[in-house]
Amino acid sequence: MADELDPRLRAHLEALRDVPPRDPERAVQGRAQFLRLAESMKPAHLPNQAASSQKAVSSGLFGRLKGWIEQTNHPRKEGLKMANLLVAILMAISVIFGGGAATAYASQDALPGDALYPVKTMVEQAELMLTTDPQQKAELHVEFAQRRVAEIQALVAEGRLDMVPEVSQNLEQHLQKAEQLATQLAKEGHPDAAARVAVMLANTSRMVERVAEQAPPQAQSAMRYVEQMTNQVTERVRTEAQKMSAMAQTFHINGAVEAIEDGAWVVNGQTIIVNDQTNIEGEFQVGDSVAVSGYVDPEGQWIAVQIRPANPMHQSPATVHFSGIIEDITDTQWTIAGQQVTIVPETKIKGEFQVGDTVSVEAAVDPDGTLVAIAIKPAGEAKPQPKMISFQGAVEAQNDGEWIVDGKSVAITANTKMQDGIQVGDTVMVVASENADGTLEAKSIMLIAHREKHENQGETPSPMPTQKPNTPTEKPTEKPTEKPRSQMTIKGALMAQNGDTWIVNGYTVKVTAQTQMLNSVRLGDQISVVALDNGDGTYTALSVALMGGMDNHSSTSTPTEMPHDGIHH
Amino acid sequence: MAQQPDEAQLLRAARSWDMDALATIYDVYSPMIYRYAMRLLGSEDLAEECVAETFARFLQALRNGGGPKEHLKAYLYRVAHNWITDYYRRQPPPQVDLDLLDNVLTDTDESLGGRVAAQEEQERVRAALRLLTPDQRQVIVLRFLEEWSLKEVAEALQKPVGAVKALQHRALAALRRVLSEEELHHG
Repeated sequence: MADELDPRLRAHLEALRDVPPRDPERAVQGRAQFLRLAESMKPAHLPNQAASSQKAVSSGLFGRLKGWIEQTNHPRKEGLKMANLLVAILMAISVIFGGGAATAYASQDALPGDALYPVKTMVEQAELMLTTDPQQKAELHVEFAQRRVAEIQALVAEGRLDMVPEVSQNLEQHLQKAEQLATQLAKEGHPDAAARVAVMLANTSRMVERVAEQAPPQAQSAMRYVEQMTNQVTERVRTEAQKMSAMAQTFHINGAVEAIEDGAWVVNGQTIIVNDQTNIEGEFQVGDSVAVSGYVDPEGQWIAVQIRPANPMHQSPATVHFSGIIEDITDTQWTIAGQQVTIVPETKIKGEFQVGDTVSVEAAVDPDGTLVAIAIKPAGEAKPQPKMISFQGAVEAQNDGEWIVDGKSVAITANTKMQDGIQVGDTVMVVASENADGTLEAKSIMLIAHREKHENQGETPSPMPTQKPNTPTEKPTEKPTEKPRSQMTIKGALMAQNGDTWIVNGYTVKVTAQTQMLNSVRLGDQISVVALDNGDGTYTALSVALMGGMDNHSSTSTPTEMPHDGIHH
Repeated sequence: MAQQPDEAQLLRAARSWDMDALATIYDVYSPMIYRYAMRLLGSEDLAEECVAETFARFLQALRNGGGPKEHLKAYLYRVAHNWITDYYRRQPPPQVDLDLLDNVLTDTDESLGGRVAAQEEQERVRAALRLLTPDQRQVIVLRFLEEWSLKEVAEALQKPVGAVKALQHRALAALRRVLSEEELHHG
């Protein structure tokens, strides 16, 4: 394809090929901001707008495809049975991917960004659609959430961090669906089903914790978010199942199988009930190492939900996990939700607690049945993230620590990111978090358009009305330059000198008789130019200085140096 | 592009403000636009701003009954390209990176030196690209970095394929000239 490119030119261009991965957190924020903007711009009246516009964004491409298929089949919508829908979907898959079942099968190891990945998520969605039993459906959601965790692990290992936000988001959606279904199951009289989901969620939390531990520094903040979100969902479902008296706690054991009898196994000295609901993944004999997770029912029986092969290196005693209210505190023993928990010097107590607080406890179970606390954390940690909103409008007032934008008061803090030079009357986009009391705290303020006329500068009015700051035209480049002549510093190589027109780091700079030459400069020198923006892509130099050895910073009348991206951090 | 969804179908759904379709459009195209902006701008903040602005303009266009009738990807690249061109016109270059260059010239750490050299080369190529006309720049980047076909580039530029070929020829000649002139000065 690139035949016309000679090797030298190619080598130059190659310098731009590698792009560092996008910050996952910012990618997630960007997406959320886009969706909020879309939501806020939704037209009041649309032809053919079905009730579907009310629903939330569905988790995968498949779900969205399904939505369109439903929409485009309007006349027959009522008669569209599941089977027909599936045929339609499979046709869509083969149209898009040119393959059938073989493609779907091959897609199972695909990672986000791979060509086959959309097939993988489509197949998952198809499985979910075909599953009507709420318990199976909830478990399927957790299983897919676990797949997302495995994918995140693989992506992190491969350094493909840009794909992590998308996967995290899908993970979150599966967890939320699982939570919804589990809560519903508990309330409809199937608390044991909710307990099973709680156990699977606890496993997911453990997986996420392991991935987070191994994540490189640049992925830490994204992983912290995933970890927090997973723990919160797990905690809520666990509490729900406890509330419905389905279980006292969830447990996890990594250890050797000591006995297998009808209906009960002994693992690491602990007797565990294995019933027809237990998921046994593999064939096991006495002596094998297994990882068993399950829950302790209100009678104190240990019910296995899942048995998997374990790494024999990771043998560990049984640990239980539960949450509840602290009923009593002594130096060596706390009573939490009716259970005596021994506190040892190694116990990690994250926070300061008193009787009446609700906490989440992880404890090791000694052979004699005593619980030894490993970690005690506040269960109230499961607070939702602050609600983020975004809106655009005119800046009506700028006070210290508070601006009024579009009639709303927003607090400006040291953490607010914003561009320089925003004035009253300018149109801006604000992204803010909404506190519990309804106050808004600005996270970022982005300039969309300067006010069309600043009275004190007597500029000609812009042909673009401020009410429609972003109206795109077929040629957005024709946007008028509304900025006043601003003063700025251009630093970089002096690339060309053509009479009084110089090229400095790619910028066209006019040198006039008034330009203050602070040093003599030659082609190729790194120089610093204080210049006025002529608004036509050229700059008029006020002063020119050599960078490096010379102290060029103190040599000019301190210019208003504007960071090139205009954003403070 | 086999793995991409049907653009026409997506656009139809987006026009009826189907949030799923809008989300899909963002999910499919924002990583590409980010990469494109990052290559030309070399700054995460700017690339994020370019992505946000590109998709905001797209929404505005849809809202006003405009926007692309087909070739959604080409349209989004065109909007991003226009934003970048606009940005080039308005702003001075980054200072932070150049200060870093200054400081590191005396640095003995080899890997840091290597990194700075790579960064310097990137800046040089970016600066050279900036000296081309916007259309020339877009042809170079889309053809040789994004590896689009001539037909795809023609869609993005809204020009006939023949015109794109001619443009590409002139763009390569100009880039070669700028870079070789530049090499003379840099050695």
